[in-house]
Amino acid sequence: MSSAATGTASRGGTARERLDAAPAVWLLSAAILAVLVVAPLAILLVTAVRAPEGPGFTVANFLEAFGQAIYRGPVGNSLVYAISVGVLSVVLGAPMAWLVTRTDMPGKAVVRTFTTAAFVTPSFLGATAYVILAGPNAGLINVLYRAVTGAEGALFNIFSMAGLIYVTSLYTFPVVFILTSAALSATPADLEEAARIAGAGRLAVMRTITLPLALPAIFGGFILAFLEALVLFGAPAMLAIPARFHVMTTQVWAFFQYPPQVEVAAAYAMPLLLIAVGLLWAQRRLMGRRGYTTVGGRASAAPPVRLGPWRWAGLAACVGVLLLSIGLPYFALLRAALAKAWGLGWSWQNLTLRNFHYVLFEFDPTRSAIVNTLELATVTATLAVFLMGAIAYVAQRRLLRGARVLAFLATAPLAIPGIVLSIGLFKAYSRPPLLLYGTIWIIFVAYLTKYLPIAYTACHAALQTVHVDLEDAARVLGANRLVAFKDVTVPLFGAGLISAWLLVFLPSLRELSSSILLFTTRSRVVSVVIYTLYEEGLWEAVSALGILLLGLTLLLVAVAQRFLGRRFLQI
Amino acid sequence: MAAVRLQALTKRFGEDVAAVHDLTIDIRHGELLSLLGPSGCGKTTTLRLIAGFLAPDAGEIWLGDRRLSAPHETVPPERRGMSMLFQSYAVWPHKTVAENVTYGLKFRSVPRVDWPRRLRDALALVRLEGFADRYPGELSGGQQQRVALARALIVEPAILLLDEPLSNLDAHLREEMRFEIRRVHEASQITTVYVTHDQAEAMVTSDRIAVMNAGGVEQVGTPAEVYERPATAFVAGFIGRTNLFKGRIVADGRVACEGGLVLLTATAGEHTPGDAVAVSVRPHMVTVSSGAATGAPGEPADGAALNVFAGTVTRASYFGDAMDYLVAITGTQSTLRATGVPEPRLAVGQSVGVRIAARHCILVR
Amino acid sequence: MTQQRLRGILVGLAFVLGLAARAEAADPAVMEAAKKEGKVIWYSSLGLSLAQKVCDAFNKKALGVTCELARDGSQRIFQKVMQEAGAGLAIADVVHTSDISHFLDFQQKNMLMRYLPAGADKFRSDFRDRDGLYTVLRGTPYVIAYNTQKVSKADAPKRWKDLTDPRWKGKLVHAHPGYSGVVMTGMTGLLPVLGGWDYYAALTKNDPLVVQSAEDPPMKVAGGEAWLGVAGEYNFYRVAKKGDPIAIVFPEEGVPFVSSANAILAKAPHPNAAKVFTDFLFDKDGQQILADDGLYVPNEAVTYPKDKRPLKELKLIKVEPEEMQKRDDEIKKKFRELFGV
Repeated sequence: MSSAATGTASRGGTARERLDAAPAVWLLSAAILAVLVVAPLAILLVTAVRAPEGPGFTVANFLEAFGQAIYRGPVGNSLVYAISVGVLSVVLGAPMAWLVTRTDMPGKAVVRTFTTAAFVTPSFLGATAYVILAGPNAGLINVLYRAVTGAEGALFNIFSMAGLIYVTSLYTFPVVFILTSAALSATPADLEEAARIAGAGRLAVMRTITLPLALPAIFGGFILAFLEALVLFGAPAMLAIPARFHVMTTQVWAFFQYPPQVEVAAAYAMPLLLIAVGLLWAQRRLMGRRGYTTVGGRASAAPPVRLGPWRWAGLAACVGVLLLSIGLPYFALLRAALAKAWGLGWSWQNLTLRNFHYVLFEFDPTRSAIVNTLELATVTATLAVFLMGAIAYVAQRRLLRGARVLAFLATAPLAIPGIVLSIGLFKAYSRPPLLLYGTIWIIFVAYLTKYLPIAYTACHAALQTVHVDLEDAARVLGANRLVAFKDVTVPLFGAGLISAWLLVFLPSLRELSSSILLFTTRSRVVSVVIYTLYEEGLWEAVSALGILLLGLTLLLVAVAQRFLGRRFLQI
Repeated sequence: MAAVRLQALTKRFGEDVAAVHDLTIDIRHGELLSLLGPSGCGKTTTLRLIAGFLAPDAGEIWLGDRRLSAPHETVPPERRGMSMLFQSYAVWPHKTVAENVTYGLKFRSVPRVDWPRRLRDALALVRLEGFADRYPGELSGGQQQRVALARALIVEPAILLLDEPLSNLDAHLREEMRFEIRRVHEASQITTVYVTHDQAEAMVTSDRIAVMNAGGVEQVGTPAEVYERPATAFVAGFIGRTNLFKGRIVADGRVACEGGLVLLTATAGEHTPGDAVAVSVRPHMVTVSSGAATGAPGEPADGAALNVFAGTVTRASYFGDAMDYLVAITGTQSTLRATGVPEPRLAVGQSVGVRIAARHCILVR
Repeated sequence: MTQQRLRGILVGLAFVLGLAARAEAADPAVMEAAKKEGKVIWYSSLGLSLAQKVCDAFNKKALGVTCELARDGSQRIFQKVMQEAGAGLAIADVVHTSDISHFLDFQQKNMLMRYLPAGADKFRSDFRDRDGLYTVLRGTPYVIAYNTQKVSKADAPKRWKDLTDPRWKGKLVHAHPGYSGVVMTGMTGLLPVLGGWDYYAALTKNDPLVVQSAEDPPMKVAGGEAWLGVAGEYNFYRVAKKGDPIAIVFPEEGVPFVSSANAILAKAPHPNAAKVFTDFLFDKDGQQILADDGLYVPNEAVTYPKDKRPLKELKLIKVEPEEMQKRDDEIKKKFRELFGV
């Protein structure tokens, strides 16, 4: 018993520490989350019902926002747009997921790899590429079409609702693909075998067993693709505005032009917020607690369906989709990035690296934007992972009462569209005492808030792989909580933290919908510079910058998959 | 002398569910005490209260004369000088066997020069010599379990806590490890608390067993005591098979059971007539023989110490080393399970005589 | 330190002389203070590459002050300056947009510093200055241009109203008055001449591609995405000079003249650097850069490219700042209504 006879003096200290630290930690976390999540939402709600000047509440903002046909139109456009993107994403993503997970189609690894590339490609770059490819008069595809057929018109006009839906879906279908393939690989083989024994043919099994089992996942994917389109700014701004129509996000942005009608914008944003909240709620209900995560697919136990010669048709279809999503657009961007002048056409003399030199070394705004973007993404990812790692830890280990409240707050921003968040932040931080507007820190607050859910989900998932017993074993042997955390949790949790960091860092590099309302000339980011260069028709510079952005993204994904194991963003 | 005293411990999760309620146990110095009970009985909660991972809502835990736990004042696990073996082994996958086993030494101020010797001894104790440089991923489940055991023992803990340590092993290995744990305990003489839901495991390993149910202790005693003299109907039913009859005391030592059976018991004197009681009769304490029994059905034959009934076999099951019979007692609605020798066998429908010594009819609460 | 005292006297003297709103180009005290400030931030609606060229030329002079360019559309610049002023932020030093009504707004809100660049008294008379608060830096007519590979000279439109001909359906590009000051000025000038909004209503029937910047139509026309475009003459001229197949039309009804003014903000964080930079913008070297790219400038010491037509040969439509200020809201609203964005 001698080893247990430590003094009693230290005991009181420990007790006090426990008593005092817990509420303090909780309060601090809750306060940070409240500032990040609750404050901008509350301010947004208040802004929507207040007059620009003077006291009292009013419905005038809502009347202004929804009383006129020109502002109601975008609501309908957004719904048509988002629903169509959801449907098209399912049409593309679900069959591809089935082919890759459940059949003997060749080239599955290639399909997965390029679907990952589509997943991390920002749709505003896809839109840029398709303007080059499918502009009605000068788009490469339409030029080719006219040359081959001798026709007068255009095969496909990208400046249209159809074009917008098409381009967006090419970069949202991976969401459906991910969720569906996860569900399909998790379906136990015996459920299907039981149906075969009972007399169902292969097609009947597909129809009556496989599909219904995967249906919640497919519908969940539909909802996420729908939401992504609903809150998207870049692609609609590039394709819808030239085609002379607005969607809700571009309309919110238009309300910010001089004279800015922030109050009307806030009122106008309400349906966006409500739809997002409602759909995410439905999606959670549908998919249980498995929310917006990048689930790594497990190999299915069921023997693959033999497609016979059709497996080549399946591969051709997948390759076709990926050519449209990755092949052609990357080619178009590369070609524009390497072109001396767009009008000069095809020739070796028209090839140059000047555009890269220009955006990297000559054009001031890109240089500062690149620095800003890297700084923002680094700080955002680091702080998000630090905060969310701590909260996920506390929530999972049940160290604090009410940790669930923290977890809820941390995942709530999932339902806040970026552009809506920005209205709240603009209102909150564009005047003293908290004057963040005009610095990159207001954008930082937006990114941090926007990516809290990703950081939380990733940290939570990573922590789940570290069994609590592993830590407790160290504690019993004499390590205090911090030492146990250092000796056991961190080494085991480390890889998970790095992937969480990257999962925040990568989207931060390309964020546009929040940044577009918050940037100033002093605080530009790469995505905003790409967009403003696009507005001036400088495709060469846009493409060069876009290629750099894509190159960095794909490089990081490849390095992460190499060193963090194949599960990182493995689709 | 009590090494550890759990005094009126209560622990609640949520508002009204008490995982442990008013629990008092004295753990003796050097003994291996099992906490035995079905899942949800509070045994793991009790263990985690002892370890200090949980703080009690009421009650105290004392280690000798040192108070470890009280509501609002809990010594953290790392300052209790204990060791623990986890259900999941909790062997750290990023550390070698040697690193795992010696981890606790630096916190117990063991000079580094002693580490190699301590490591050797600990690995020898669990028969893992030569595995020091392996990683856990290269070991079998049983070997990982031994690593965890060595890690727990090397620090010479004041108390060793075992949380269902064998439940993840396969049946064969589990049986072997029972004896292993007993052997190691006898070699080390460390006061040990062992949580298990497996009564056979508790029987083999323990000096004493605390049978737990619904957050409280039903009975604490040696394996023989809890088996042969169960204090409650729950203990009787949970440890081994038994015939349990509800009834009322009708006279001194005599119990009228539901169904019409009247049993003579040995310990009835503590009760007054009219008390509701239950009687536990172990099947293998029941003797069934062919041919009519002497004495009146349902009445004791000589009034001294034996119950004798006539009955009919209604089910006979062959177990290899024994027969299991279900016997309907003539003139009552009661049936009785009895264990018989494999030879000679009795047939279904056969009239039999049933004898039970009164001292094997145990009155339980 | 007598030298410092001397400098103090000189500064004082400069202040006195400054009342005459005529700062001398090489005022050593201003120069000295400007060097300490180190940089000047120029919010400019001048086309990106040209604006960059101006900044680079200024930086090459190595005056100890560097030009930091913030290029954006006129209306965005105006919005940002107003927004920043509302937030109490002083970021910009020098502001330059193509919507001259902005400077009326600035003036009414007392946001401008009184400063005339060196040599302003010798500037051509039709590039006015207003009360010494702002000066027109450059001007360009608002014109039509066409892709010479797609449209023959004979077929090319001669009048504004020719653009409503159904043969151009799907072949037009038009920039946005909510972004571009050039377009805002052009539309303000054209509306009374062409008889109001009917012209634009007819134009929308041809499904024009609506882009944001006036810099974009030349790109679209050069690349063949549009056959015909509308923007400032210099926007097209610069692209055509690079060899792209673009020809410019000065429609018969007349061409609105877009005057793009420049001013120093009263709360400029680098006021002295702003003065040095402004002097550069209006001196011969600065102005020549603009003239080379096809702009008309106030400084008469510059030489224009041979293929530029003298201004007096053109049928110019004058656009008054007051008229622009008055119609700003109407034009944005009506454009939204007709063009949908």
